[in-house]
Amino acid sequence: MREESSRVLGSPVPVTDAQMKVTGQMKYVDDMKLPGMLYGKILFSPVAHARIRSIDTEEAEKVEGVHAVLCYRDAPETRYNGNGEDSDILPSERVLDDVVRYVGDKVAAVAAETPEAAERAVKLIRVEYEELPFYLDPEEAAAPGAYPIHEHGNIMEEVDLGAGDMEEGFREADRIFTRDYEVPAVSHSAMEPHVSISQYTADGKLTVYTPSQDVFGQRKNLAKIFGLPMNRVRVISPVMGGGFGGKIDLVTEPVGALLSMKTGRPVKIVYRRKEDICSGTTRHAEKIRVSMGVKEDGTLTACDYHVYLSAGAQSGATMSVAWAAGGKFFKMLSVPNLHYHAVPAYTNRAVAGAMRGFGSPQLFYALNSMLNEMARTMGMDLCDLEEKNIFRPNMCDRRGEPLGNVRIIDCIERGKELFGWKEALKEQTLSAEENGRYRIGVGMAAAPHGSSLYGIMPDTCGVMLKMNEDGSITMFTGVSDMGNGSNTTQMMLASETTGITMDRIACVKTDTETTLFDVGAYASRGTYVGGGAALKTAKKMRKKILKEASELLGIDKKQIELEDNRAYDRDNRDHAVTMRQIAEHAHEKERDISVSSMFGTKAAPISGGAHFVKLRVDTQTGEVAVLDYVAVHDVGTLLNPMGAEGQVHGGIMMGLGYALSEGIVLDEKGAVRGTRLRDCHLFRADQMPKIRVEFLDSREPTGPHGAKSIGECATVPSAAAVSNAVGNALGTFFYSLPVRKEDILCHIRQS
Amino acid sequence: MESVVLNINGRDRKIQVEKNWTLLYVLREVLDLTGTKCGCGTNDCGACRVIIDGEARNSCCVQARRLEGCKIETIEGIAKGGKLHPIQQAFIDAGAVQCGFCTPGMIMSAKALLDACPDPTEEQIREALSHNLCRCTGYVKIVEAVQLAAERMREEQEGGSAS
Ligand code: FES
Repeated sequence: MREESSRVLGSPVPVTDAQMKVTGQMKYVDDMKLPGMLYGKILFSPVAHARIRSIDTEEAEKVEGVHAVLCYRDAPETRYNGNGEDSDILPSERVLDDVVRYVGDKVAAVAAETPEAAERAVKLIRVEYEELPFYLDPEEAAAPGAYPIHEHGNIMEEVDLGAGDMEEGFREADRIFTRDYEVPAVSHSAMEPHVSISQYTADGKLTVYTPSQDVFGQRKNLAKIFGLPMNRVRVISPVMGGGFGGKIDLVTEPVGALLSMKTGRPVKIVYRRKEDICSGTTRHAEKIRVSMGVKEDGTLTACDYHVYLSAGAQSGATMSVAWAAGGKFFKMLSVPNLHYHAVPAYTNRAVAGAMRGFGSPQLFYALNSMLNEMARTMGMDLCDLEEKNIFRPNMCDRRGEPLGNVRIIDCIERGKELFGWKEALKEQTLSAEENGRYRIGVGMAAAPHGSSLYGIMPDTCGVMLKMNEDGSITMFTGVSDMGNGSNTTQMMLASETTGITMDRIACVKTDTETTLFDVGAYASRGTYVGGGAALKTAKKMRKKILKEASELLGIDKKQIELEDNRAYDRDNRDHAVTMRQIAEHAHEKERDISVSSMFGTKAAPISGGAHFVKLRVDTQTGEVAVLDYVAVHDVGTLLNPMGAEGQVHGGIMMGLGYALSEGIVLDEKGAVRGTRLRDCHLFRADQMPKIRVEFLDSREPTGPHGAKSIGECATVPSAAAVSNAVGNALGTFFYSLPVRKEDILCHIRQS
Repeated sequence: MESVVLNINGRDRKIQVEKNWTLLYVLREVLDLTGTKCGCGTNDCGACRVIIDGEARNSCCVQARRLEGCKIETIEGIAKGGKLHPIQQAFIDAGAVQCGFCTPGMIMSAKALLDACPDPTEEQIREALSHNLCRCTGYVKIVEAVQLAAERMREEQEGGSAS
């Protein structure tokens, strides 16, 4: 990209706040201090399920520097659902409750002048628990007669979706495969732990600084909990040190707000990593049963999918995840007879919520695993089997929902070529024949993902653009950028449309007081919806600019080009005015070049990707070395190749972890085993394979300049491709994640 | 409390420290050098990495009072005369920055490597970065950034010594 050029779309553009980040000047919430600020600490439950019989805070209150010690007696009665999207569904949570529902649940909270004093006080709180039956497994929690974790019972709401005739579908099949799969809860492990600073002031206003993916959802919930009008709640997300879904729900904010209200001082709560792992949200642990009917030629006739979702202790995003995965279930396989049944059940575990893929990593792990097993068992090429059974572009799914320009097939075709699928398969066969210490395995998997919340709820985003007196502009957006570059993409669209260069566009973001409403960072909607909103607003601004330019240049608007901070006559580039002149002219005429618009989507087009992996299993140690990785994605038009590649790279890192090493392990009492970051087993730089990423030359007609989503799709097919490769290397099948080296060794010993 | 003089980014800072204060705590809470991040506090993530006498180390696991006489470099000290350090610039240009929370620590690891080894292999780079976790980038563009920085720094060196 020429730095001064406003023709930016399609060029690699770094995130626009990179300078701040590489110099260490970016102020994340934990880098901020407010005058008079206190430090909040939470006492977490040591038991999985209990009624609090008594709480004695007297000793804690005596600690020097302590301003407040709070428990359920001090908390509002209001129950809420901490997830913004689902805030009206099954509100189950209280800021502090008299029942604790998992090891790590919040029991009481302290605010003190130093973190040390707060910690000392927390240790002096005496609690008597009356322990209750607890469930770590969603199937057990959902069983009739199970002790209710919430008054309304352990099963939230079952989701049942179908198309075609299942009996008929299975009757037509030559073979039926039925398998059970199990996937663990996973920690988001954003490098920045959960943190917030809450400040309640004498004017009855609550201000919360928090790295949030959903400032408006959090505002709605905080207003509800504390009975405040929304104009008296301001949620600001200055910057996020990673989100991945984990920073959608309220975590530290309600407790921080309550402490601030009681003390009249700002209160910072920052989770230690251990607390982040044990008491932050997770990806859903699930137990899945899949049955597929197939004809000898590989045509699928039916697919029946049953899943138990472990919701954890509170409602959170679980219902949405159950519904969203249900929707995605219909988006890839063109099988005529389909059935999806989900049982979301409360369990005595940390709250499960959104995590990159929103139910799809689990779903497409199971589906792709079964396809792999089917192909191998029936002696078919897996790519052929997938291609035979997935949607072509511009079809409707079996329930009549349009899929848009879905091109997963082309991703598979291109991926095969780029990866060298046939040769890799030969290598795998050869390695099996040699039967040596090291075995080569190859795997692939494909998956779709949506680009907005359309169909689930109204998906809206407002953007304002304001021209300054020198012709530079400021964009106001509620779109939460997790570091993935959504705001950068919005600015690129504004730049291209108005002709104002990126260095002359500033961004004010995610502040409920100054920016217009946005639904939040869900559903990979940053480019499609956030970008769509920026484009719509920028087009409005363009009109205003053209009006001024036309007056100044004395030519028709249609004759005018906007580029590089100038407006010029397209037949005579020297006949031009600068944006500064345009701004000045508007002011002289008592006009302002500021515009805003609310954008709502009318579609949720399906993106897609296919991942291919080659790895080597050491049969003596169980160690897996990933040797080669190819990912081909359809994102529509590629607006920012640098950003999109970065998304895929990161998604693969998460997928590798999901497949081979990550996953929260609990002991029999429900406590997390291994509470350090190292115990999360995230992939490190020296464990990562060579990665090749390619994007199809594609276009989504409804998207901004033809673009659709990438963020979540980047990780969805990954785990299946990797775990299948391990199974293929050893001539076996694995039915649960992660496939750790212990599991591999165990398998080798058994066979 | 005891008194200690820490040399941070070329300046002596005389401060009072408690026995158990880590360098990370002193940087962030006493000196307001918040560019160095806390991602775990347990020596696992490298977000708090700084350079001590030429060696990249996690500041969350070093006691401040033991560092008298050591040269400590933090992310705030490596840009010179208003110009970004070549590693910082390369991180931007290569797209190695997403959320940025790991970035200061990554850059310090990279700087310790390139100071000692101006022409590292990819394996050496990955090894040097293996103490730093990044949840966003898959490390791909971070490795590319370090390669780009190394190249630019060598060119600068050669250009400098030729003239
Ligand atoms: S850029 Fe987010 S953790 Fe590395």
